[in-house]
Amino acid sequence: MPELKKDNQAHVSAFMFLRINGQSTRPMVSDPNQAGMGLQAFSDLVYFNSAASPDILKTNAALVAHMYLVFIDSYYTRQREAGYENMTTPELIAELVTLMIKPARTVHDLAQKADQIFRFKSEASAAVPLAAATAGVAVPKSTRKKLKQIGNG
Amino acid sequence: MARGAWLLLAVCGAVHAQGSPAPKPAPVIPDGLQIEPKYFEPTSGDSPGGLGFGYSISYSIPALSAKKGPATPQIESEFSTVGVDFQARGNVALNQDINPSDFLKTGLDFSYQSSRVFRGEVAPDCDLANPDTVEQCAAAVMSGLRIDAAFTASLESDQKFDKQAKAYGGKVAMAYVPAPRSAWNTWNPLDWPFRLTRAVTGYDSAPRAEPNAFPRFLLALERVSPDKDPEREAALGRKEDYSRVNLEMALSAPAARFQKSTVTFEWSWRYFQELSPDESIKAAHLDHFRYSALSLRLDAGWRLTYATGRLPLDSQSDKVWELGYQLKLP
Repeated sequence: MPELKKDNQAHVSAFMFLRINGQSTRPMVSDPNQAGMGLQAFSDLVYFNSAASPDILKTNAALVAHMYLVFIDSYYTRQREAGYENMTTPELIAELVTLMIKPARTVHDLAQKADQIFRFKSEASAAVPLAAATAGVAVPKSTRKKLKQIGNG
Repeated sequence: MARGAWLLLAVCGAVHAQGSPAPKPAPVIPDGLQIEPKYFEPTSGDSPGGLGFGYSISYSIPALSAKKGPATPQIESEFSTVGVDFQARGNVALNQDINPSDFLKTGLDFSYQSSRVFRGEVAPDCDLANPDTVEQCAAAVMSGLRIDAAFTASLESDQKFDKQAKAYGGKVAMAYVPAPRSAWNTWNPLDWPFRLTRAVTGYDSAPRAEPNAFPRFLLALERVSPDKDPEREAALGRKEDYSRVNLEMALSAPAARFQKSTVTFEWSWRYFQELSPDESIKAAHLDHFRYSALSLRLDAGWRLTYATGRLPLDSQSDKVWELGYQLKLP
């Protein structure tokens, strides 16, 4: 099972969200004393009450999923990847809940799902549309002059 | 015949649940049936222990769900929407007599969902893009409330299908994570013992209220139509529909730290009460059912559960220890 990566903002968002909100106390990546959070199964997170009925588990998972979406939206990105841009918040929550009620799936799976849904900062997929959108735009003289001054002209 | 139809429904659900991964953007196709092998050890009677398993399938049907709701979650985000869900779950023991929760339920929910969450505050020395600052980000903790109300129709049975019933009605489930400084969090009595155990075992440096330890609730009112229930028929002398209330309270809280792992306490208490039961049903003790399960789980897949009482359709009250480990099916 793979570890979370510190240079992946989707992975960072999952780690920060779960640690801050008391769902896990594991470090982001494994150290000699403790396994990393990416390897942790959902059934080992606090929200996953396997003694409770499926109704309660699902409602609980949906609340945590809603929190995670707001967390990403507030602190990381509001951009979505292709295929998810028109989905509503309840639909995205349903996506996450489907994953989060499976006891053996891991935090790494959640982070990957977030990466699949959202276009995080510095992702290649974010740069391509921006470059494409600006490719045909004429650069004003004043801007060209400034670019020359800083060595990018 | 009826048993065949039930098995077909279960198999169809399982096969459907194991379908191919969802192509984007088609949402909410489950990619696995969950099965948890268990060992049951009765603490009363002469029955020996035995093996078994728990199963679970949950499937939201996207085509039948509403497209309403905000496109992006807000800082204080709230919405309400409707949806249709398929659910199946149960506990199966190779020896039915030692199954502590011999109650399988498979059904459809037409639900109304309402959810509201609030974000916390980000301290100046917290950089949420830098995981090394996570200890400085504690104030960013979130809070929220979700309520799921549903019209529900289901099929109930014991694991041998010796007893079967149809049930339909309404239910409301609530999950609340209070804000850390709120009175609800501070005065949550169910968390008091764990504040102490967390502090003593080094999970927390000092006794601290845990917002996730706030209990969750479920209230259901169903009309039950027994298809096959020899015990009720023997008591009543006939087959008769009845109304039943179900209340559940559940709690999941970090309890301690053990060798750098988190020990989580789980609890569920369920009560089923028939409304206006016949005297003969009362005399046969078939008018109400109580079930309680307590678990301690270690942050490595192992879980030790003590279950007591019985669920509807379960013939006898059990006191059983379960040792379980999570398996993943592809």
